[in-house]
Amino acid sequence: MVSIATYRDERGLFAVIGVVIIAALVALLQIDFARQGRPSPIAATITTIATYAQLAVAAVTGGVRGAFTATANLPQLARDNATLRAQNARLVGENQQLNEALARVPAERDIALAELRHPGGVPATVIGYDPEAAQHLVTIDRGARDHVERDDGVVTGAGAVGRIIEVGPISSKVLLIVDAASKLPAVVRHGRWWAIAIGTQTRLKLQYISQDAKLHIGDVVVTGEGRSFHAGTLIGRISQISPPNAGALDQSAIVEPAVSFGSLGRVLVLAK
Amino acid sequence: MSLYSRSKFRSIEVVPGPALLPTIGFAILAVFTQTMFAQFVVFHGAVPSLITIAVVLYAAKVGMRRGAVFGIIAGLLEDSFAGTGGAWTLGTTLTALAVGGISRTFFSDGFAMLGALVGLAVLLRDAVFWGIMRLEGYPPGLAAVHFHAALWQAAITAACAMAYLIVRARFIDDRTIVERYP
Repeated sequence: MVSIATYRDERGLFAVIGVVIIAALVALLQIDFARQGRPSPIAATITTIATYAQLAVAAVTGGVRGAFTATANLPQLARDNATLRAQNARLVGENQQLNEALARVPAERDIALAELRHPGGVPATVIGYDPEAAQHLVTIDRGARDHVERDDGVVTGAGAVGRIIEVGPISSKVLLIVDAASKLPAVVRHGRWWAIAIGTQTRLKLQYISQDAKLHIGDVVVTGEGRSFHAGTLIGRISQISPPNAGALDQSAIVEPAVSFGSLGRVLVLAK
Repeated sequence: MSLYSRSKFRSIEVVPGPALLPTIGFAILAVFTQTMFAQFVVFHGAVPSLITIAVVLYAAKVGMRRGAVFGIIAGLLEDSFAGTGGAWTLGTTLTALAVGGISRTFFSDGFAMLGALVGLAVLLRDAVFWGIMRLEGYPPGLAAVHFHAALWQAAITAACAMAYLIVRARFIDDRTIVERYP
C-alpha cells in the first residue's frame, strides 16, 4: 500500500525545515558576534527586556514588602510620631520662652541697674498707655497696696521716667517727664547750673539757666533735689542750645531724654 | 430740592439702631484696646480713636438723646483709663450731641459722608478736650502741636471708619423701614 503525503504533512515538514534553518542562522549570527567579542543584538534585546521585567518585578515586590512592613510597624510608627510631635511641641514652647527671656534682657538689666542705684525702690511693670495718646502718661501695676504715693519718682536704669500723679489700690498713673505738664528741677552736671526741665511732648526744654552758663552740646543733665527725685538721677543730654535773647537774664536748651519712652517695660518707683 | 436735605420729605425712616448694651461692650473693648496698644500705632503723634468711631456711628444712627447717653459712658471710660478729670466725658458727650443733631439733616448712610463726619467729630472732640484741659490748668503754648496731632488723628480715624463701613456693608444688610404719609 502506497502512502500518500498530504498537503498538511508537507506544510509541517516545511515548518520544521524552516525552524532548523532559522535556528542555524541564529546560531551562525551568535557565533559570528561571539567571535568578534561583541554581544549579539538578540542577546542584547533579550537581556534588556529581561532587565526591565526584573526591575518591574523587583519594584512590585519591594512595594508589597514595604507596605507589609509598614502595616506591621504601624503601631510603632504611630507611637514614634506621637513622641516626636510631643518633643517638637516642647521644643517650640522652650524656644518661645527663651526668645521672650531674651527680649526681656534689656528691660531686666535696666531694672536691675536701677535697683542697684535705688535699693528701696518698688519694681513695676507698665501695663497701659493713654488711650488717645493725648498726654504722655503710662499706667503701672503697683498702687497704694505697694506703698506707692502721689509724686513718687519713677526711673529705669537709663534715667528719670516721670512721677506718680494718680494712685489706685493696685495701679498708678505716671506722668512722663516729656509731657508738657511735667516740670522738674534739673542741673547741668559739669557746671552745676540749675534749671527747670519742662516737657515738650518729645523732649525736654531747660529753662531759666543762668546767662553766664557755658553750655555745650552733649552736656549731661541730672535731676536736682526735689519732691519726686533726689539729686543726680540722669535726665538726658543737651542736644540744642537756644541763643539768649537780647537783654534776657537767662537762656534755654533742649535736652534729649536718656530713657526711651517708646519701649518702656519695667520701671522702678522711688517710694518715699 | 437738595439731594442731601430731607426736610421736605413727608416720610419717616424708622431705623432700629444698635442696642445700647452691646455698643457699650464694644466701647469697653475699644478703650481697652487703645490703652494697651495705642503706643504701638502712634502715627505722627496720633492714634486712631476707636471710641470716636463708635460714638459717631451710634449717634448718627440713633439720634441725639441715645447718642449722648452713650457719649457720657464712653467718655467716662476714657477718662478713667487716661486719668483725666472729665475732659473726655464732656468732649465725647458734646460730640455725640452734635453728631446726633446734624445727622438728622442729611443722608448719613454712605461711608464717605460718615467717614468725613468721624473726622470732623475727632477735631471737635479734641478741641473740647484741650479747652477743658486748659481750664483745668494744663500748660498752654502747645496748641500748634495738639492741632497737628488732632489733624492726623482725624485723618487716620476717618480712614479706619471708612474701611470698617466698607467691610461691614459687604456682610451686613441694614434694614430701613420707610413709612410714608400723604
